[in-house]
Amino acid sequence: MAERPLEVAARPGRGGRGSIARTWAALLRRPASGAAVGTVLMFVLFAFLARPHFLTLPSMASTLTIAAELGIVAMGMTLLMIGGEFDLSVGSVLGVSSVTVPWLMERGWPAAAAIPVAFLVALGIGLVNGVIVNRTQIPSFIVTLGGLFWWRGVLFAVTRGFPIRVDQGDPGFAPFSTRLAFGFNVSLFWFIAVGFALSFLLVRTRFGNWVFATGGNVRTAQQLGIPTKRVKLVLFALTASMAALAGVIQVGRFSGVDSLRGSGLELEAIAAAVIGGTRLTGGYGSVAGTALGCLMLGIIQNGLVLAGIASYWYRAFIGLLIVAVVIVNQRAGRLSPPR
Amino acid sequence: MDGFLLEARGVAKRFGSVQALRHVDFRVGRAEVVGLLGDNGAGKSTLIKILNGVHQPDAGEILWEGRPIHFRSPREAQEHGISVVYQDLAVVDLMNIHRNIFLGREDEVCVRFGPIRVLRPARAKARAEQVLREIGIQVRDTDEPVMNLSGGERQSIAIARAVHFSAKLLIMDEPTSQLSLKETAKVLRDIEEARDRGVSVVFITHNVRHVYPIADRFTVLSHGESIGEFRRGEVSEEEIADLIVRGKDASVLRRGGGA
Repeated sequence: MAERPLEVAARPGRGGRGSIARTWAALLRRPASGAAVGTVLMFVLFAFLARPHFLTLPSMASTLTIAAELGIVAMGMTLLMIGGEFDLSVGSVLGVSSVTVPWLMERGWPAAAAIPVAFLVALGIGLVNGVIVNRTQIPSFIVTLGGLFWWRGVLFAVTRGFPIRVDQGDPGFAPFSTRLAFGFNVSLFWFIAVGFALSFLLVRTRFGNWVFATGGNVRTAQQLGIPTKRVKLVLFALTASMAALAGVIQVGRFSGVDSLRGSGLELEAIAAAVIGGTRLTGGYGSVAGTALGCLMLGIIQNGLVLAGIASYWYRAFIGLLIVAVVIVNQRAGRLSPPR
Repeated sequence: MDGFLLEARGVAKRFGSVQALRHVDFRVGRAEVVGLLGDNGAGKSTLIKILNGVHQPDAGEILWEGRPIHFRSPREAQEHGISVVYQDLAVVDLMNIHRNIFLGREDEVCVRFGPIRVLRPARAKARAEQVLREIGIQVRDTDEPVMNLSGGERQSIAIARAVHFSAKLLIMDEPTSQLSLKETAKVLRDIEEARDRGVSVVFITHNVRHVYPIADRFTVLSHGESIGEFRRGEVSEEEIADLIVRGKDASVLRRGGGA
């Protein structure tokens, strides 16, 4: 049989341009491109608005500390969102797993023993979320909204609303919360390590392939024999575990846990993912985009403070950004999934 | 012809008060294209879901390669070499072409490191191009997301996938109902190519025009019964169209199988 071309829809303007232009065009279609451009813009903006403080090492350190803690949670959430689900309970899970550590330490546990328990608690909650979503077919938005209130309520009930202090000097915190030179924190390395690990998992493993398929078209995925429920279960467990990691990092960084720890984190994480090009409808997104989204939010949060602007404006800024970024992404049109 | 690949005898299925299939005889030879025809509600989908292991028949028997068989799930049917392509579920739009081809069966393009299977995109790309070339489809770039392809091209991807994973029977549900004439012609050529490679194809449609040019055999369903089975050349396109519309009234045409 004669070969015939599988005509791919014409690409406007792709023909005569040089390879550099083409590489750029391809790069700009990646999910992270909007966030990359935005991060640079915000960086320049605050370098001006908040000079001379913004362009200093301690300022970079504080930006990265914010980005790292948010990023660890948001990158986990990104995989879950690509798989077609949400987890609105991450803030409460972060709170509950954080409190587990000082609560056990008050009862004589060393941090090194209490921290694994915090992870197990989060893992358990994540699995419960996954099982409920899989069994009932109720949207995860609803299931985890319930989780958000339930676990926050449990947290208040256990602590009676009082903060619990913790001994930061316990060596168990060292791997998570060691302070480095110029105000940098070891959490930065967790951010980088988790970022690379999750990115690899997503784009270079069979599991990642299944995540894209599950979120892209769950019925097709099932038709092709992909265990979509198992994929979702793993994603819920992963997302909750990432919340626990961020929680443990914060326990060591602040010297205690209050009952509101992690409140609002769920929406910030989703915002970072969306700013980073992840689709709310699933099947598309990237870990790098979310990491850049977190970096951008860190720059804004830190920049506003250094510029002497009331930090209330942080939330207003996020609101503008989300809408602006989604409009830009929509106009940019063509999507470019991973190779 | 020596023996059928698939043979269904007297298959019946009831859902609550609805008798979806009353008595269906259906057979598919080796390397042959069978048009499964019938109006909406004739029982085509139900029959396919039974052959594919989604539903279990209430009565009747199914022979696969001459032996009675009972598929309990689509996965089981797939393991025996039955692959179903639904018109809107053939591919995942937001994934590229080569990922789609190996989706759910990545072993060939993976390396195992303990519990994780690492994809090798370069290998997947090269293998996908080879697979597509084998059945005569040329793609500029398998990194393209499937969403950039036309409806016909998506079907072609699904056909290539089925051929590559050595399906013995490819069941296509209304593969051309939403395609232009030009695209339909392409898909038909791909189906012929699949047949020439020894794959049997069941082509489900309510429009005989779509399948008449390539089918070796036709089975017409009406109200849950098989009301006619013909080999190509025994009846005209018009006669089959008439049978689909008028059902058993047009029983002048009713004959035994022409095998």
